[in-house]
Order: sequence, then structure tokens, then C-alpha cells
Amino acid sequence: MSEEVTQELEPVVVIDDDYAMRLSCSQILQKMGFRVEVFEDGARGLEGVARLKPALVVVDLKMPGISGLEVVARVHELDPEIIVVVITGFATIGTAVDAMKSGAYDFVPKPFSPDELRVIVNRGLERRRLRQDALRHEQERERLRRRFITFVSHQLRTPVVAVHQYLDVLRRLPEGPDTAGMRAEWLERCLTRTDEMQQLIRDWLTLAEVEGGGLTGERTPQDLGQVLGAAAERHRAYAAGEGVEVTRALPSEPLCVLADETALAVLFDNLIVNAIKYNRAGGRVAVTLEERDGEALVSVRDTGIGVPEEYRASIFDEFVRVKGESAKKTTGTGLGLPICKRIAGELGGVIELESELGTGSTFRVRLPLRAPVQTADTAGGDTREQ
Amino acid sequence: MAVTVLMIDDDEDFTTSIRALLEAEGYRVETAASGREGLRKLDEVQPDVVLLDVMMESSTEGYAVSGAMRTAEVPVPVIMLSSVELGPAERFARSEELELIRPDAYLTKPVVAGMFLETLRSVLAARGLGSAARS
Repeated sequence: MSEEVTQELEPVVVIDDDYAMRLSCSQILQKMGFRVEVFEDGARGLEGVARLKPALVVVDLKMPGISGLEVVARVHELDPEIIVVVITGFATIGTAVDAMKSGAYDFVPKPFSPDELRVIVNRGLERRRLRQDALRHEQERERLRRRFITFVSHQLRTPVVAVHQYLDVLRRLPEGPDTAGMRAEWLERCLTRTDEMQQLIRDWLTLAEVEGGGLTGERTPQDLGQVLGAAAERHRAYAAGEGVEVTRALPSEPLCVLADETALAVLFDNLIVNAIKYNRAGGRVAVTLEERDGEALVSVRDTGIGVPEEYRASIFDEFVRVKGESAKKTTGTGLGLPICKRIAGELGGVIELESELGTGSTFRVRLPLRAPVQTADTAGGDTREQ
Repeated sequence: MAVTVLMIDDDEDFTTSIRALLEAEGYRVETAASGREGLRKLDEVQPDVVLLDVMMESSTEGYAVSGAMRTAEVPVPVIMLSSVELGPAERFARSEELELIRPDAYLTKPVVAGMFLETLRSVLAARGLGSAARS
């Protein structure tokens, strides 16, 4: 659950040949909550910057050796996202402008009050934060764009190509008893592949809905025991057809979570269907629910083929499907587990995999508990819990 | 003797339909579902022509196979198939590697049966090989 995380202090660098200035800047910045490292000349300062990778550098323009202006330029070369504030001895516009042209964020003329430095530092770091957020958003947008392209140009296109090719060749081959068997077989294959496309589209839309917050929006108290019982029932026929037994171990008292009914159904349907699909004939799927460390813990364990080591890190990524002899006959979209992970996350929980090749896999979902619902008359009421 | 075609493609449905098409024209067809299996069968079967899918397991598995064939100086012509519209010349910048992976022909999937058979015939003819045994 939530562990104690010690807030690591962000490092900042002060470069000034004047001891008193180093001291006073240090004190001001330490009071602001930073870890300060001071350097008395440009050369040592630059080494320090390279080592510490600080968010902020305060540097005096007038120093012997490497000039403050050169330090500014070099820091900017190292990392243009570092906020550099220069201390100017004589507030001549020229010097300050030169510094800013070399990459400094702002300048502060001596003598300055602690407040004056504080204001500039805060403004600079805020700007840095915004730029990093923008960069992160851009990277995320790019990732989503590439994912969409992969989906359309490969995932969806492959079954379309297969069906088209079947039909194209079928049109060309002579009709008659020789080709009748092939026609019947290919007809089935085309239907299977178009089913695959439908499933892909459905899963893709589900993923989009979860990511848009739609699927996990309407949260009401849900008794997980009932939810899991209903889910197991839904797949009874499928399991029977595959020769797989689904068992459940649910507690007698209700264990409630605050969640959207549909979201939970999608989450557990995916896990149970996977457990049946990637199983062996005569195998078993065990669904258990218990309270553990103040959370609800749902486990779906199968006696299936297991997940090979090399897939375990990426199994929750989109379109990842286990390939190999034993997994060969299984169809799937590669979107089920990303959907599960997303839903679990949206509900404040986590999903994990434990697997042993040849023995089976166990998917565990941990969700934050909620006090159980009092009576049935809260259903459909005006007051809805957030 | 029938002309032998080796198809290297991991989509079973695609190989099934193309196999039927080729066998109806009198070709003998062998298949492999991965680059690795393909290189092995190349040795075993000694085909007259190879049909190679670009993507398979990883996004450029096909290119790795044809590159390997060129490096080993295997004289068999290669027809590359892909569901991606771009050809290898458009995908890669000009480089020495391009020579290594340029196939004899490049077709996009799904293939139009007539054009596909024609391409196959002309690739074989260019190498001085007769096409299907059936006259």
C-alpha cells in the first residue's frame, strides 16, 4: 500500500568566488527546502553541475578564471532545462542581457534581499516545471499516436488481408467437388478472422473508454463477492466447452469496493476468460477473494501454460501476445490485460502477475476497500458517493 | 520437374490461400512460419523462388532473412510481400544495406491473383527458370 517515502531534497548549485555571497545564497536556498552545494570557481562549479544535475544554478557574473558568462553558456550546453540565475555586481543592462542570451533565466543585482532571490528562483522553477510537463505530454501524445497507427496498420489490417486473400483466390478457383471442401473450410476461416476484427474493435473502444475515464465514472459500492460470482457464472458455458473447471472461494461477509459495476465486470471477465483460454483440457481456474492488509485481494489462478519469462515485463502492454507452440491456437487481441491494468489503476488498485511456465499463472488484483453498504434503499438515490 | 516455391510467412490463412492458388497453377509449395525456419527450409528444400513476408514476428524479420540470404550469396530470387504500403526503398535511407535487401519484386498484400502469378512468372523468367510445370 502506501509506504513512507522520504522526500529527497532537490539539489541546487551556487557558484561564487565570494565566501559571504556563497553563504547567504546557501542559507536562503536551504530555507526554501533545497540541498545546496557551493563552488568557489567556474571550473569546479561546472563539474558540480555535471555531477549533481541540479534544477537551478546561481552564478556570479564577475569571477576570476572562467567567467560567469562562460559558465552560463556551458551550463546551458549541458542541459538547457536548468534554470540559471546570475548575480550581477553592477546592474548594467548589457551584462544581464548577455547572460540571458547565453541561456540565463534572469539576473539579480547586488545587493539583493532574500525575497528578491526567492521570487526569481520560484518563477524560474515554475517555468521549468511547466516545460517538463509539456514535454511529458508531447511524449505521451506521440506514444498514443504510434499505438493507434500500429493498431490500424497491423493489428486490424492482418485479418482484413487474410479474408480478402481467401475471397480473391476462391473467386478464381473452379467450382466443383474438388474445391467444395476448401470452400467450406475457407468460409469458416473468413468468419473466424472477421470475428477477430470485431473483437479487436470492441477491445480498442473499451480501452479508449477506460482511458477517457468513461468506464470508471459511475462509482457505487460493489460487493466483490457478488461481482465475482456473477462473472464466473457468465463464463460457465465457455469453461465447460473448453473442459475447464472454474471454482471460487469467496468470503461469507461482503467485501466492498467503490467502483463502476461495468468496469469491474470488464476487469474480471478478461481475467477469467484468459484463465480459461490459456488453460489445458481438464484444467482448473480458481477465483479467490479475501481481505489482505486492509485491501481486497482477488486472485485468478489457472493451471495453464504459464507466461514465459521474457514476456512477463511487457505482458500488460498493448498488443503483446505470447507466441510459441502452446499458445499457437489461441486467438486474442492483446488488449485484454492493458484494459485490466487501466481499470485497476483507475479504481486506485494494482494488478500483478505470478507465473510458472508449464504450471500456470495467477493474476492478483488489489483494490482499496470501502465500508459495506447498509441497506438496499440507497440504490438509485440522489446522494451519490464520490 | 515442378517449380518449387518456398513461402515464409507466419499468417497461416494467407499461406493456405496462396498455396491453393499456386498448386492450382502447378507449382510445388513449401512453407515456413518464421525467419529461422525459413532459412533452414531454404537449405533443405532448395526452392526455385522465395515468397517472403516482411513483418512476421518482429517488424523487420523479413528483411533480416533476405539480408542473410544475400550475405550467404544464395542465388534464389526473392519476392517480398507486405501489408505495409511502403517499399524497402522508401523505408530505408540510401545505404549499403539496401543492396543486401533489395528483393526481385515487392508486392503488397492482399495480392491480386492475376498480377501475382504474372510477377512470379517474370521473376522466374528473369533468372532463366521456367515457370510452372503445367503447360
